[in-house]
Amino acid sequence: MRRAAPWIVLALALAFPLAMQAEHQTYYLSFASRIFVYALAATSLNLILGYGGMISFGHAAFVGTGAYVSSILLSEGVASAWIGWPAAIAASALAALAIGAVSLRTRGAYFIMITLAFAQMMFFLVNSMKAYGGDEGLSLRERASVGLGVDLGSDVAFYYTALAALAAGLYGLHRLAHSRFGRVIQAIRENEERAEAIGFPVYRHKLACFVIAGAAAGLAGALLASHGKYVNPNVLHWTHSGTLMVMVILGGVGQLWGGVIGAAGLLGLEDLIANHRMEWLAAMFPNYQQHASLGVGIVLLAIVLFAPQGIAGLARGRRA
Amino acid sequence: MPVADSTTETAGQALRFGAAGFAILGIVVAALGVMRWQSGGDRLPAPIWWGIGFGIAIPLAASLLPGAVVAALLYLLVARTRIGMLVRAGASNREMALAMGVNIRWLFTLLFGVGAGLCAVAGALLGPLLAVQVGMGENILILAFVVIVIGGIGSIRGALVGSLVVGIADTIGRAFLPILFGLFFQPRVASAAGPAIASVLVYLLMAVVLYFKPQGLFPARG
Repeated sequence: MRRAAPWIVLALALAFPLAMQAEHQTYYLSFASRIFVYALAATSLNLILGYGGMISFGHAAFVGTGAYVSSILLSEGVASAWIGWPAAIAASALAALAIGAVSLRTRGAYFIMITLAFAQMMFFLVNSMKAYGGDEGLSLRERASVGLGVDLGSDVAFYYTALAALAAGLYGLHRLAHSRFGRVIQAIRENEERAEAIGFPVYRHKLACFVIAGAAAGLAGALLASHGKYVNPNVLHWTHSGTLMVMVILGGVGQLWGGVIGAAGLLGLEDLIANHRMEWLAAMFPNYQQHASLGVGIVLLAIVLFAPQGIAGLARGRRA
Repeated sequence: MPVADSTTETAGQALRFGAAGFAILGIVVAALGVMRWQSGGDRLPAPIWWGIGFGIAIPLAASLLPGAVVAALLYLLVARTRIGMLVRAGASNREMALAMGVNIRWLFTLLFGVGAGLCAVAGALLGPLLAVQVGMGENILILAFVVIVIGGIGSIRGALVGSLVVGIADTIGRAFLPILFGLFFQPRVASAAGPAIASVLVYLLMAVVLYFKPQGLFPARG
């Protein structure tokens, strides 16, 4: 059962567009793509936060770098995703290398704050890029093109692209977590001094982990920009880093499916509150739908208090 | 489940603490939204007793004075009283303080309340200076983090120095950087780069401080 679960989820995800097309519900196709993209970003954060024990509060910087690099290339006429997306990944990895090299000198709360500081710097710099929209953001005429007779402009094609990226990300995380490198990373999380004493190059392992997560976040950013055909500096704002962190905590820190469950849970909950009027709740609070963040806040508080391992941890606890 | 050692445990606690903080922030923001303060924001008149007669400097002097008094009281509370001693003991070694019979849970809950109360004082002082609106805490929140990180977490002296450094750097940067850039670059470049660098300056300062002193300027002992 445990081994089959991922394949069942994948099969359901593959069949989802067929069901939606039969029902003519294209909104939820686009919504699901959005969840996949955020799930990829949250999964990459989960790699450093959950597996590496590095609480980064600046992950939006890498998502934003990917989003902006791919968008700027698109607006300059480089339409091919085969150039735009690798460029986004490379730029985010480079940014993660630079930021990580400085930030990883610090620990604990100082690390949280210095990653936040770098993300804020990027936010203000992008905000002042007048040539690329400044604080108004950058609108794209169309999504990146992948060739091969596939038109990413259609929601179905984009859905499968986002799904493929997420599946690759999850598989990568699974393999990484069980590799020698992943074991060392988790050993460092458990006890840094011990890992150092055994003889592992702690700093280099942490930095490599940070760069991998940054690169994956860059891909998520490129997909995010292509999905909405629009990008603005808010994608780098610290509240966006907070949202990604909330997704990871909600889903399960250091759990393979944590990022996916968290992204689906958070975005799903917001959509549920904002777009589906529940009469029994509306009877008590007439305009509760305008205050979706209140509901999300209460649910998050409950999760943190009653399920410290997140939703994925709840399921795991039952089985053990 | 392997026995978690103290570093991961603290990190986990910090994380959960942060998540709870976020949730509370969301609830407070939404609750304020329910109170229909969404629009604009109101500038409050300064309380009567602030009008001590310093002309233009009234708001500045008015917020300096209570701020200085509160800072001094806080320093005395933490450094000179028994309860301050217990708090410091609990922060530097939680298990040991517990073993000595200190009710850490109760004490830290109280401490959290005192921190929130001090924050309310700061909010009341800032009301007349900034506009009172739902999101007014967001910018201050990040700046407050920057201040304590530059000063050194857990150090009240550091917080005082950090806030002065951050405040002065930010103000000087915003006032003079555009002019300074105007001397060296084209006006078009200067008008774009000046404000951008000025808003980044505080964070740049923090990154530089942490690079050279990863524990902040005044690391708390213990």
